[in-house]
Amino acid sequence: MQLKQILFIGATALALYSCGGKGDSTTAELSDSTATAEDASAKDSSMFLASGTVLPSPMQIANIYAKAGVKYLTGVTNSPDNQSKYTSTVSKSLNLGVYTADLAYCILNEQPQQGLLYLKSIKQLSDGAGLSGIFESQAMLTRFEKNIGNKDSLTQIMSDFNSDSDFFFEENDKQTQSVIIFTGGWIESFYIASNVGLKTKNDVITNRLAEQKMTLDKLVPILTLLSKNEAELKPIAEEMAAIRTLLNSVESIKSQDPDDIDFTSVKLTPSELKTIAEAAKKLRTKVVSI
Amino acid sequence: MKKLNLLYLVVLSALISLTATSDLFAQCKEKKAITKTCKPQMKPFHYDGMAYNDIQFDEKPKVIDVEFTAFAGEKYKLLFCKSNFKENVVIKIYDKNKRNKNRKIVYDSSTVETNIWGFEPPRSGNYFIEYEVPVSSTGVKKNECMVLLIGYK
Repeated sequence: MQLKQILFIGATALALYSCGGKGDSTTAELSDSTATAEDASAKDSSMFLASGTVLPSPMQIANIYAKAGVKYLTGVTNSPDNQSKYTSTVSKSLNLGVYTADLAYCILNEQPQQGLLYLKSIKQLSDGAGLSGIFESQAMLTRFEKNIGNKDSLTQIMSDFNSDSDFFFEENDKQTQSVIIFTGGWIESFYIASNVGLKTKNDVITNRLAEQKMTLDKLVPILTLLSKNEAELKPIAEEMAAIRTLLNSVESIKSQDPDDIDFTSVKLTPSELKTIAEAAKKLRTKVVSI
Repeated sequence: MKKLNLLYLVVLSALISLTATSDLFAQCKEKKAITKTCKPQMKPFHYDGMAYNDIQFDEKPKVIDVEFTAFAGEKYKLLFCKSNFKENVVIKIYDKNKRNKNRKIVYDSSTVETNIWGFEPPRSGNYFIEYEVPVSSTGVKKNECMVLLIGYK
């Protein structure tokens, strides 16, 4: 998905107001090689706002976790029945992301019937969030039902769904909502993977969790800016920033050049994993309970 | 009074930015058609994300930046598609950002014949795309469009 420039420029205007800096991308570039990690991130976010960043799709993130060994655990996902509880636009959008991640998790772990329940909840939430157009471009439910026994076809259907959704958000000026949906999906995937990682002590999974620092480095600054105008997002942005801080304080990350981290050498200690998994659970509980 | 002037300037800047943005988006009208033409080349990879960039050809060359994250163990295919312009926009992809002196070019469109880049990242990291936009070949200012599609498997 791409976080679109209209959002970037709006956010840059906000940043301009608060920082008194210049908004062109040239001035956003770093010249001070001794900048701290936090400075670097802040300036990276300026570049991010000024140009364009493509974030990994929820399906790719789920795929990476699945390859790492994140198997299906009954009861770990958010119940599809909860969709009726979400009433505000923010809670609907966040949980639309949560359900999209749950759907990807089900497809990749060959639980298509459960996946179908999530797809139906996604459709209902989309309708309620003013995003019914996502489903109008294709008979997605019908395609899904026809291919329910075929994991490859379902993966392709999800891929088409991602692509159609990106177009829909772009053409209907729903970029802010797309960021919130992405956030919900990221939180759910991270929660599931950290939960499974904690139970299995699988180093590959924990390594994959640590890599998500790169996504958080991009997402947290923009969420923080969005939360200035959307109070409901504030606690979510704060919790995500807290997880980012935890990842930044992981010993095998902290000991590296923040600008050039080799994640293959990153290992989470049992205590670090436990702390991160607990933070992920707290954040995810907040999202599915609002 | 000084504060009010500052506020006025900020609001005005934001309005100008947003107006400019509206124009900017109007310029990349062909993105859907470009994507539709380009997307079949993505197979057998799965769609992951896209980036549209408005390219303005005028009297000054410029560089446009786009960034994406790639994860070790995944295979990626990047498709660079464009509207109908004759200027040669050179696309370079670096493995590190501009402030890192050790960054290397991993893709350079001026050395290959194709608009497709397939790769398997040796390690997870951010990649930095630069579109090197030359001056307008006709001397006339015009707005065009670049579309990047990213796929994985």
